Order: sequence, then structure tokens, then C-alpha cells
Amino acid sequence: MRIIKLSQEVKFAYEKDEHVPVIILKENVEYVVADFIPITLINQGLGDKMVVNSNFYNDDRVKKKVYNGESLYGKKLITFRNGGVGDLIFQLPAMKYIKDTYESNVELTICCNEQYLDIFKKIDYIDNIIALPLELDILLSNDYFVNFEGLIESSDRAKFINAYDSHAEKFFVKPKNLIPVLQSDEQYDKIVLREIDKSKINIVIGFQASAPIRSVHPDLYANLIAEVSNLYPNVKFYICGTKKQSKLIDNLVDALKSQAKVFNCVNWSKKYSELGMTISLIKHSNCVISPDSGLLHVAGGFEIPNIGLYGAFPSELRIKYYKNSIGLDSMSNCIFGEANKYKSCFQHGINSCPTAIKNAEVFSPCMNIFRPSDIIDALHDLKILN
Amino acid sequence: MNQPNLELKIRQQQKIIFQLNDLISVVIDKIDKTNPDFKKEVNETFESIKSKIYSISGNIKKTKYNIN
Repeated sequence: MRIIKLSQEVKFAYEKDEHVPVIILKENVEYVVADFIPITLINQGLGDKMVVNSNFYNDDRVKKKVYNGESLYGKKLITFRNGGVGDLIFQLPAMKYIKDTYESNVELTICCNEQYLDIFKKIDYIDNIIALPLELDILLSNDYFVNFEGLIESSDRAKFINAYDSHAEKFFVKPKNLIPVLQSDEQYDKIVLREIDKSKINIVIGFQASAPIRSVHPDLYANLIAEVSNLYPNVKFYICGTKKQSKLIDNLVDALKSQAKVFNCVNWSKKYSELGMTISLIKHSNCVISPDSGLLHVAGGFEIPNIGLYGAFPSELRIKYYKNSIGLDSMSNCIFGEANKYKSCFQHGINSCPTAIKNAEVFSPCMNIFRPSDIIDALHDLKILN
Repeated sequence: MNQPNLELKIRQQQKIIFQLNDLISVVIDKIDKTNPDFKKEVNETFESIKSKIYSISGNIKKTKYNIN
């Protein structure tokens, strides 16, 4: 983590992509940022605007605020990290436990990327939510902070313990209940209940994870949806993804209509891009099928039956606390698999895995082992299909 | 040698083959351009080896968590 300050206001995005939000860094304000931010600024020719670029944890002002398990009675605690929906949800059981323990005599703030604020807006045990980038003054106005940057990606311990346990450890607590308590927006709930037909079996599909390394090929979903629709005409599928993935989802839906004559499949995120709408959809659905992505963890939080598709790391490190959950783990002969019971490679990052690259593919070959029959069996186990 | 250790050894050997492949790809590119048939034969042999290394197979393990 770094502290940076710029000599003039700068607007930039992490990637040159219309779907990536633009961030504004104000002039002469100290910000707490992840290590890659100064590198990104330099790569984008903005390095000369940085008048401060120092190590966050070496700053004396910061050292006093690191949370080490002190009493939080009457105190203010802030957490922050980049990362997606799942990464942000993992901290919630511990925060709920803290709120319950101190009977609301503690103020809790979460700081995350703006596009994910919807997760927390209606959660009553979180007092404040603010968007990154985090100003140092705001952090210092709290009594303590907990930072989760790299907790999973950079830790060997993350290969052995569940993500909820590792996040609870950062708070020095051991909640008995490690299922996140989520709340949806009532306005979005009303729209969803008008949109969906509750007499049908409504299945949400998480199109892809945030990185190709954990995602499945769209053909798997195409074959699954065609097969299920043929046998169970009362099922409706809602495919959810990011704005960037919308065109690919459209291609999938169009192919199903034209080639398989399947018309019970909707590109949900094209119609409703707000994360809050997807959260409400999941809450009112019958089941979620997804690779390791935030949608799966939202399902877990609402105790909606779910099926997780895992390859790079095992399902038990993510979903073992959820109710009515099935983990489908790919056990392959990939040379990067480690000698653990799931043969996981634990590869992270935003690119394809090394084996995929060598095979000139996008998706991890271990994720190509899944068959529709694996998922259909799991749907039977969950009594979603009879 | 017990099964887990044997498996680890195989994976270590496969990693070495993986790295050798990168090296061989560089060598193939350097083969004398006046002997295209030889280069073709070498290339085909190593493509065949590569397909065995990068051919991924396996099975799916299903785990049920807290099913009512």
C-alpha cells in the first residue's frame, strides 16, 4: 500500500476501457492506494504529477491506527480494499459480530470501489460506506483501520483456510455464524417481483468471474440451458454479468434462440445494470449457478441454493459455510496443480492461466472439464429439478 | 515411493518439460532456413509432445455443503 499526493487534479482509469470507472485524484490531497496505482499513473505518463509516493505502513500517523484486536467500545473502525463483490462480502460476518458484540457502540465504515457500494447500502450494521480512492485524512479520522488488500492473493495461508475465517482473523474475532447477512433495496425488490414469474423455476447464472482464470466457457452454459430447457420447460434462466460481458451474453442468448430454439433465457444485466438489481434478483431466485464470483456469495448470503464451479482453488475455501450449497471442483492433471486433495493451482491475476496461454485458449483448460450433466445432477441434489 | 510423492515427482518433471519446450521453441526458430523439411519434421515432433503435455483431462468432484 502507498500514500500518494498529486500536484494537480488527475482523472484516470485503471484500464483503458469504457466500462472501467474514471477516478478523480484531487490536487494536494494525500490518498491511500494499492501498490499498482502509482505504477499505473507512471505508465499513463502521469508520474511527474506525483509529489508524494511513500510506503503506507511506514508512516507514523498510520502505525497508530492499525487494528490489533483492541476494544472497539465507542470507537470508529474503517476497512478498505480494491477487489470485487466476493472479496468485499467476506468481511461481513465479522463486522456483524462486532456490531452485535458492542451493541452498536462502535462505528463501522467500509471503503470500496464505487461500483460495489450497492452491496452495503441497505445493510444496517454498516454505518458508512465511501468510495475509493480513500483520503488519508478520512482514514486517520477513525480510531482503527483494517486493510484486506492481498489477503487472499498474496498469502500462503489462504490456500488452507476459508476466506471468511481469514477475514475474521483480521478482526481478531471468531464468529460462530460465518454466513454474511445481506439486505436488498426494497425498491429493486418490487421491480424484480414484477419482472420474474414466481411460478417458474428461476435460475440465475453468473456468466463469468472477474478473471478468465476462474471462468467457464460460455458453451457450457449454452449446452446446459438447452438440455435443461428441453426436459424442464418450466425453468427460466437469467444470465448476469458485467457491462463488458453483455455482448458475449447477448451472443449466447441469440445462439440459443436461433440454433436450439430456446427462448427462456434472458440477459439480465443488459436490462438492469445496477448491482442492486442483481442482488434483488438473486434474493428472489430459486438457485444460482456460477464460477467463483460475487453472485455466488450473494446467493450464500441470502441462503439461496447455489452451485459453485471451481478450478484454480477449492470450493471449500469459499462456500463451505453456505446452506444448500454444492461445490463442483475440477480435478485435472494440469502440471500447475499442487499436491493437495483438489490438485488446485491457486493461480490468481487478471489474465488467463499459463496452460490456457500455451494452448492458445482464453479459459482455463481445467474449467473445460465441466459437463452440463455435472450441474444437472447438482440441481437434482438441491431439489431444484425433480 | 508412496502415491502422493510419486505424483509430486511427476508434476515436477512435467514442469521441467514445460520449460524445455519454451527453450526448444526458440531453437526451432533458429534451425537453418535452407532445410525446411528438417525444420518441419522437428516442429511436428515437438507439437506432438506438446499436445500430450497440455492435454488436460480429469474429473469433477462434487461436495455438498449444509444441504437441508
